[in-house]
Amino acid sequence: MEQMNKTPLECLDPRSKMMMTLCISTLAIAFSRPVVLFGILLFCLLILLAGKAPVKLFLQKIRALLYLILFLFIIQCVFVREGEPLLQIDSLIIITRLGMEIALSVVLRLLILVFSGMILASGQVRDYLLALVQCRVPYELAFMVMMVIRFIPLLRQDAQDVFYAAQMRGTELEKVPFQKKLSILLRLLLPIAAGALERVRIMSIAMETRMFRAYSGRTYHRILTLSNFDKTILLLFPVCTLAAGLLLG
Amino acid sequence: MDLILENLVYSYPGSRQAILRGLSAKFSCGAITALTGLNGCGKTTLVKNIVGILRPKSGRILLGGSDLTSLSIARIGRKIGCLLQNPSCQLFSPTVEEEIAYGLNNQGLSRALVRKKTDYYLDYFQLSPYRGRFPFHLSRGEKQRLVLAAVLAMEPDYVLLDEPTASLDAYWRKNLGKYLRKIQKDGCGVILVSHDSDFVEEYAGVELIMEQGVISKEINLADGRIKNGADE
Ligand SMILES: Nc1ncnc2c1ncn2[C@@H]1O[C@H](COP(=O)(O)OP(=O)(O)OP(=O)(O)O)[C@@H](O)[C@H]1O
Ligand SMILES: [Mg+2]
Repeated sequence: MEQMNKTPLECLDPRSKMMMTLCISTLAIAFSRPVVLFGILLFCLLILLAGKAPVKLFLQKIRALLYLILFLFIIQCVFVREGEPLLQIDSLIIITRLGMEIALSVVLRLLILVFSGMILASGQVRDYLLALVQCRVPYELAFMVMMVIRFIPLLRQDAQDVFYAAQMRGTELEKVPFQKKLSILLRLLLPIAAGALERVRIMSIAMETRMFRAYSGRTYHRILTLSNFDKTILLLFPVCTLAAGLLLG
Repeated sequence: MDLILENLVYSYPGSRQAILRGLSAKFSCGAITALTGLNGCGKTTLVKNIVGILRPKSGRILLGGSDLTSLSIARIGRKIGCLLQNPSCQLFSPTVEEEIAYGLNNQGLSRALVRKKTDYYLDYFQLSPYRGRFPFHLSRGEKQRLVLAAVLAMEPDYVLLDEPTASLDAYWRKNLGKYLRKIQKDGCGVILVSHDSDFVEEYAGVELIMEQGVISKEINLADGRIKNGADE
């Protein structure tokens, strides 16, 4: 069938993937010790590699985000002043052990969230929609969630256009101190959000004029079925998550 | 001070086909030059290359002898004002008034002067009644007028207008034409990208036709003389 050129990760049931992402990200939020977080990150990477996910391509796509995470790491390191000093120039303490630990855990958490999101990224929006509906989530709700996800690339385009417009009217964004840049970006966030809401509003009107919700349900060509492997994942992941929470917490 | 494009080459990342293929052109200050061509021939791409949103793969953009291709968007924006196709994505201020004042403040003008100019442009584009309103709640044509006002208020050496008449009614089309004539007389160079051939014929002095990534024809609209791009 259509299973031919699929990576193992793509063959998994969308529900299994959602469960994995949910469990891994829950663990990432529940723990804060860098060692444990590092273990979770490794585990997540292992899943991606075993599933033959295109990790390299993905990393290229989110390069900007990785720089941001690196930047966060440095900021966190430098701004925590308490604790045993690790790096000191004369009497000026630059990095402390506590600062380093906090920074590491923040960065590891973010990375885990990004990579666990990548497990989801191997599937298609409509598969998740179908999976949510089969888990008895109301169709309208599932549909709205998926629409929001689909809007994200559009939002990025809008945001870019607004930044360009502001620059063309004299806002210098290249070669300015980071703090100034941040304050400009925050100021521009308002119109971008307003634009997005306006879009959603217009679309919901368009959908209603095309009879969305006029019928109580709909039917599907495909019904998702769980393989034994999927069933194992769906059982094992929550159990292991709970166990890990009890043991290490 | 002429704006000269020399052998511009541009292709979008990931696509093999170049949109601009060694395009050269000259725009004069104190003139209205129209840039026309079929849908998708690359007019907007050219505009974005000139203002620095996209960077040409090779070629030079000279304004008064200095090359713009290495300047930041903001530096280019001080000399060249630009209106892009979608007005909604060019508005970002909490009120109509602040939208116009934004660029003026960036120019470092005194508060009194910013106020004076803002009032003048609000008045000219008949946006005074909306001055305290949120720009997103204007109609499409009003948004277009507001972006025009915000760009023109900065009084740049050149203005690039991508489809400025697209959502304007007959009254405002005419008003815009009159305004472009006025700034042309004051020595501003206007570059008009438009499918509105009546508007182009009425107000532009020269029409450049873009085809296959280059300027294929230059028509002098005053006397109807045609110069082919290859002749130069
Ligand atoms: N971001 C992009 N990535 C890849 N290709 C693009 C991108 N933007 C535009 N193109 C392509 O480049 C070509 C030129 O587009 P452009 O928007 O410059 O045309 P245009 O002359 O302004 O057309 P119109 O008259 O419709 O405004 C088109 O074929 C378009 O599909
Ligand atoms: Mg265009």
